[in-house]
Amino acid sequence: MTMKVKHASLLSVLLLAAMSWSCAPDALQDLTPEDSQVFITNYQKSANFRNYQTFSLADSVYLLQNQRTGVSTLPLDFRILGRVADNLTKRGYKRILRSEKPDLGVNVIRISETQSGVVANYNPWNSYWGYGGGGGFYYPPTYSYYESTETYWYIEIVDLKNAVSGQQPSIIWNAQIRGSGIFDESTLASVVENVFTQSTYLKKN
Amino acid sequence: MKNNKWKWTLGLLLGFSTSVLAQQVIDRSKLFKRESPYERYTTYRVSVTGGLGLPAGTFGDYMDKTSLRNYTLGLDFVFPKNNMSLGVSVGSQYFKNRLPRQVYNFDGQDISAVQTRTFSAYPLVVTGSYHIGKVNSLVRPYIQVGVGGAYAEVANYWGAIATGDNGFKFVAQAGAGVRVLFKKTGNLGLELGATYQHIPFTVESEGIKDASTLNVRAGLFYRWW
Repeated sequence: MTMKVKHASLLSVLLLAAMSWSCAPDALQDLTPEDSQVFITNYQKSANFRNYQTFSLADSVYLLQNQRTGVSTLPLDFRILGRVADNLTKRGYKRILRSEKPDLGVNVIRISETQSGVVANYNPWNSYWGYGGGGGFYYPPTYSYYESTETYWYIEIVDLKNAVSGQQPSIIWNAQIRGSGIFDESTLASVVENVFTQSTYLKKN
Repeated sequence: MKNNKWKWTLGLLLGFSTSVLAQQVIDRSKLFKRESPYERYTTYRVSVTGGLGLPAGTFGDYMDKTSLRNYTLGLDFVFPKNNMSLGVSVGSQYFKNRLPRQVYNFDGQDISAVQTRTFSAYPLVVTGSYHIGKVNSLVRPYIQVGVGGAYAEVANYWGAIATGDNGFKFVAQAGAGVRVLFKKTGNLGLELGATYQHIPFTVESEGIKDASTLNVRAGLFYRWW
């Protein structure tokens, strides 16, 4: 009998140890905002970027927020548009108006993606007074609604030169700028430059 | 201890009293030469070890760093006569490697990121051991095999964007080591060993086919009956 008790307690110790160990440490605790930045560029492999001369750029930033769309003209938006134009000019492309039939169309989009879910917390110490206090005193599980939104920059270049009327022009280059601190005035210039730096093929000459 | 004294006294008394009745009595001289409980009964052993984890195989290409977050807790039934023991062990292993910013080139895609590569595993295995030397030997080398399951996770963070896979996986272990008692008839001792752990775990994006590690362990064990 005593043996059985011994085994049970040992097993519970073992289980407890396993449970306490299974809380994984936070791998990103020591990640600096700068190190959290990710620059992703995609390009159409068949595209020859030397074949294009001119580009046009909208005077506002598009907003894509889950299912909603819009335009934004904050000071920050003008600044990023300026940086994108500068980089393309440095690569040998000439900025012209949309009406002047440019070879390339450039869009800057701020995308917000929200992920959400519900988790139940069965915590008996978590009292709950809901809806004006009309109800009784009880301990239901509380539900945590978690939501994480990531907002990032998306820049795309579409091929207007070879566009067929009535069809969507093809995107020959796009870039995502993700992570922390990408909306800071002080770092905006460098984060925009990064996506061009890693796209060595993106030049007229 | 008190309990033991009583047992001995009772045994002695019984011995004397029954000697009149039967012949299967233990002589007084022999009584004190009786085998220790460890040699007579199945006894228990618990061991806590920790140490260095070394990635192996295809896992080594992904995780180019060793780990010290590597622990094992084992509970064994130690058999008296055949030098074997049978038990269960739980483990906790965590590897982390932060790679400096780098541009990764793919087919039509370039990604510049600081990667934080992690691996964690929580194996629960049934172990069988064979020892060289008797159960009360001061130094007992052993070999050990184990099979079981583990919750394992390969998470590669590109900046803060997580990629990877996790799940319950099969685990096979094989190892060797030595247990050294601090005192000849003591309960406490030092345990040293190395265990090779194989977890079949395919993560194509990282080129991993198995998450195998060599775990070099040091710690303490305690035995009782």
